[in-house]
Amino acid sequence: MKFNSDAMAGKMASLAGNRYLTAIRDGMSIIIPVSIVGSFFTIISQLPIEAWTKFIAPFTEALAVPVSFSIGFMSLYACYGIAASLANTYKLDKISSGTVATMVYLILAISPSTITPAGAKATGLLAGSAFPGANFGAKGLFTAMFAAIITVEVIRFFKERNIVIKMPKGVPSAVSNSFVALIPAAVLIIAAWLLKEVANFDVNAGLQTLFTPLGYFAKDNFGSVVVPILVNSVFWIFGVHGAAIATPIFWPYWYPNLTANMTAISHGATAATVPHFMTEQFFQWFVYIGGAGSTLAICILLTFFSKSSLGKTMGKVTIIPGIFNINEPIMFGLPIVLNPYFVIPFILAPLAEGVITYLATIMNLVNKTVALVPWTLPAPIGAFMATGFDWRAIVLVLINIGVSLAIYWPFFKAWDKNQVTKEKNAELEEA
Amino acid sequence: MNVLLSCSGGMSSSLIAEAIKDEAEKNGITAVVDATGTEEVGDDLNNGSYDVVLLAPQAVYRKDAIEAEAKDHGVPFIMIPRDLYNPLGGPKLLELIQAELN
Repeated sequence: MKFNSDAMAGKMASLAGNRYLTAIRDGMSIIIPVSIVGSFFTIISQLPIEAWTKFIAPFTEALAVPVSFSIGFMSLYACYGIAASLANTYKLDKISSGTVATMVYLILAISPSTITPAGAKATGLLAGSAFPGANFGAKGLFTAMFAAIITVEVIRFFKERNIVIKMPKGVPSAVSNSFVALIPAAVLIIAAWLLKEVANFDVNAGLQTLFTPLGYFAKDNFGSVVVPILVNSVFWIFGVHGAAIATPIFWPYWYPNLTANMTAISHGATAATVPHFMTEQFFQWFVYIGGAGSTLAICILLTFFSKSSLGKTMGKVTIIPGIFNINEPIMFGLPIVLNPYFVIPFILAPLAEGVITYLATIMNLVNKTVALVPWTLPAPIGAFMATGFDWRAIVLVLINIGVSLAIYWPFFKAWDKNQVTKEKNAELEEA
Repeated sequence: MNVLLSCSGGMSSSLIAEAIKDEAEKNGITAVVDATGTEEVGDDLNNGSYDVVLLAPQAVYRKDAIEAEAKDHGVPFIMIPRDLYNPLGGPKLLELIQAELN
């Protein structure tokens, strides 16, 4: 039986291309820049210099502010981003969709309370409205996704049936667009309000219960290391961006963990004592060195050990992007995608690195990740920063590179030998 | 000629864009090749004038949406074949673009 890899690739592409998954992935990327900036305020207190640590100690509370309003408010931003992304795919107005979705999310997820003057005196808090913070952050992500999707679908439903308020000609399109959302916005907001404030149904808790089975991947265990790596590698080997499927599924679990770590730091913990190792950064710095499949190893092998002219050329053009974790050139250039020579190491190398890092982490040989660092940094630097400046993280990255070199080695040799033969034959034919 | 080249995040496409630009230069063709992410293709087409839209193979999961977006703007669309999406694919990619435009 002939294995039809193109049909398989097509199936994976259509799975990854699911409209909602794509909107969640694209929309959630809105939180990356603010989270990276917020992260700097977390690791700034972790510099391994005693004088600095002493100097910065009194500012702990002030340093926590940008952290709280970046990663601690991620659901608010994510909701807007997902709704705008989804609206974009339907050619609906992004701004009004994002705004209505955000309000729906706020009603569903946030329970305001009032602090009376007497209460203020007793607690030392400011009198007025109070909004508990937890559901603004990662704990509200499911509600944010739900609100974003339902809002855009309802707006679309009304628009397709033409149940919209029409503005006379000559009204600027920005104004008339915002009125398109008026009727669906009223329906949505009233429905959300009835559900939450009149019927007292806790949508946020309900959604969290519903997705409990997937919560396995939030737990710091062996399976949560292995499964995401397998998913990512299998998609990539067929040439489909693995993050397209992994991000929407796993982020809602990885981000609460990172938030918990950052919050712990704000309360005086260190990167060694924070609660979770299972964050997206775990994979970014220790597993996907050079990109999915830990392909920096193959770039190194090609550059320094290849005997074929294709291998040498490919090594030269792919190693620099590889150092900065951009691996499309090697994935499609060599190629690794759909190449029988590299299927096994492409899956095995990141798995081995994941297991090694897992063991190193549970034996407390290396700090946990406490910050979101830009993914285009070379892995040793990124790992050093993300772990709150732990030099052992650099050593671990180098060990992992060594391991992936060893795993790729025999497959690389086989490929290279075959390539040399091919090139010789081609020369003979020409001569 | 103005080319819009999209991958998932606009990162790898910037490398390929360079390769196409270099190749065009070698052939004495004035070419603007902009790299972008799939999310921004619609905005880019609204704000700039492009002769052709290219999509990177690993973003194949967005093919339908990007193709429709290009069609809406009356711009031809090319799905980049897997074997050309690398810094050495410049010459063949340029050929592909020129074939589409002529």
